[in-house]
Amino acid sequence: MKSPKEKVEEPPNAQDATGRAPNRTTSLESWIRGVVLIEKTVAGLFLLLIVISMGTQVFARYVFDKPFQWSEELARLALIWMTFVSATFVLADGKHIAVDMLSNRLGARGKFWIECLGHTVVAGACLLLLIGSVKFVWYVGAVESPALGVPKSWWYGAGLMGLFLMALHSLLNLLQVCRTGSPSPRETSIEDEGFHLEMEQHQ
Amino acid sequence: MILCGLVIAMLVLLLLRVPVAFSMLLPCLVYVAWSPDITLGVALQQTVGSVDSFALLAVPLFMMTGYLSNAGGLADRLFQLLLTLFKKIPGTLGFVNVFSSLTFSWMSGAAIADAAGLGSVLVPAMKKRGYDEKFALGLTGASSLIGPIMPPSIPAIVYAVSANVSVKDLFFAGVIPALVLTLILCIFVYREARKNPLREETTREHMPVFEAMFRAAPVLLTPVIILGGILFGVFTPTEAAVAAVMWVLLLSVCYRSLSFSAFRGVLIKTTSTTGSIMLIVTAAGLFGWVIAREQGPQAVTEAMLQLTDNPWVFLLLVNVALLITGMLLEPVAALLITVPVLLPAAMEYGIDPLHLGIVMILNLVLGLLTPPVGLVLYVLSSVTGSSVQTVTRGTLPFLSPLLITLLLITFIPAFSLWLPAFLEVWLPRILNL
Repeated sequence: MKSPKEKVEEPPNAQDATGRAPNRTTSLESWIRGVVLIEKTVAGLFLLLIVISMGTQVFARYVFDKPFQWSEELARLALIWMTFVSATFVLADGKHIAVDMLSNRLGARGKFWIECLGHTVVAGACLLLLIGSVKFVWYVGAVESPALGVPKSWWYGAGLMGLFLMALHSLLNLLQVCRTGSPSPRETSIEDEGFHLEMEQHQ
Repeated sequence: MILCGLVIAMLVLLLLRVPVAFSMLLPCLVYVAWSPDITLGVALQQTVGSVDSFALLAVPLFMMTGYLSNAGGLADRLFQLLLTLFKKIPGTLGFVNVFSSLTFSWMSGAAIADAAGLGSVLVPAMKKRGYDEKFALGLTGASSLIGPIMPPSIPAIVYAVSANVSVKDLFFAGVIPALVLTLILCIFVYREARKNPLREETTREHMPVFEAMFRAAPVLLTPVIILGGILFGVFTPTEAAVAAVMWVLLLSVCYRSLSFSAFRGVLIKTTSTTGSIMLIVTAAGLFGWVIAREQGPQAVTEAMLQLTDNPWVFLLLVNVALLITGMLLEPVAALLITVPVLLPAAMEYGIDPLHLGIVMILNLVLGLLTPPVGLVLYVLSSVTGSSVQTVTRGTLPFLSPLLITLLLITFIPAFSLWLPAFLEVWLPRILNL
């Protein structure tokens, strides 16, 4: 297990025990960051699609006195895609809801194994469901949705894509934990989640 | 036997810090893969199908409303109004703390935003003006629980979808319990203010009341659009949520207070929070299906009926079980796990699903204030710099009134059932007259 500090202290051209260049972790991290950025952008676009399609529905109901048939179905489809795309980058950021009660009391070694177990379970669950349900998605492709008229595989395909990306992120996280001995840093702080209020500025 | 194995496997994975969604998912997937008569395609159908819901569309939309209001500086306009309105009343900052939680409830489906925002601003201000640090921390923590109960509440939407009840009815069922909690906290502030009648509460010159009201009036229209729209049948809860997003976006553009990068931040925060909740919804969809297939709810109902046939005893037992669950699990996750098990039993006892919903939500949000996983305690400690022990000691005096509120709401169903019934039956009659 290497700490991140030890990694920084290595000379630029040193090689690790397996003969690979040490800056692999950095390139892996930047590659993961790139994928996460794409996922965040796509998830944001699906959220905007939900707002626009639901906004259109409300507008059509009050202006034309009749809502569009497709708007609700489009919003529900966008919600499914947004859920699975968001779940992937939330996983990459290590922000999925979990119970810390036991892990907080463990030492560094215990935390390392808990982290490894978590990533293995997530990857295992995703791969099991992914492999086991590909055929199902293929079959439902023959069925069309009632309003949009698109294959139902667009619905379940979101699940497959999400499972694939979550398995990928878990395996990459596992690789990173094994190589550095610590998980990747989390991005947001609690302060960012709170309301921005001013109390003392005019004193 | 299989059911016990599933639940034990889930609990072990939870304790080992496996994310909640996957702690539920993996045992269920092993069960499905093991069963000869079903395929994993069914598991995918259940997981994806559980988020294919019109009502659940309200979750990201209400969250976006909250994040947009904050990024667009709208929360601060309301806060300045409250500071101005309460400036001459003893206990100003205490009342502002409680009423901020109430008036911000439409922006904070979760208690964290409330605790983090008010904790970082009001707790230091209250300390500076002579309030006891523990009182300030405890009051902020306790008042942050108003948001998840007062509509529009994210736990209420999730419960309504899980229990197949009307989101609108559950929203309005939460109003009186939230007001009862507000009243009890106001009594606390009043008592504290009487102990220190000469304390100078504000040191800054506030803007005139009319100016503060003028600045805040368009923002105050947002909860009117949401609740009024739902109440008078203009909108469904999901449509009300999108109307609120549009309105708040319009205000932020008019005030020129929302930059593009802040808007991008809103989108990322909304999708991130929604993603973590909705993934649990997908896993809970499969979990609920598996335990229903194994006749889990029937087994729980039979066991409970053997234990007692009194609905009040059942509710008391539910309270104890949920208080413990809430200490360990985040409220929405805990709701998704417990609703499929408890609701059928409650129906056997003749308990109204709306009443059970409010009892469950209040129980589980109370867990946010109790160790070992009291999220609000950690948030308050992080934003104020006080130790978790100090925050915990500060919240202890507030736990007894919170528990009294819980017991009142548990044993007097009218607290949660009267308003939805009144709005459903009596309001149309009154309006027709």
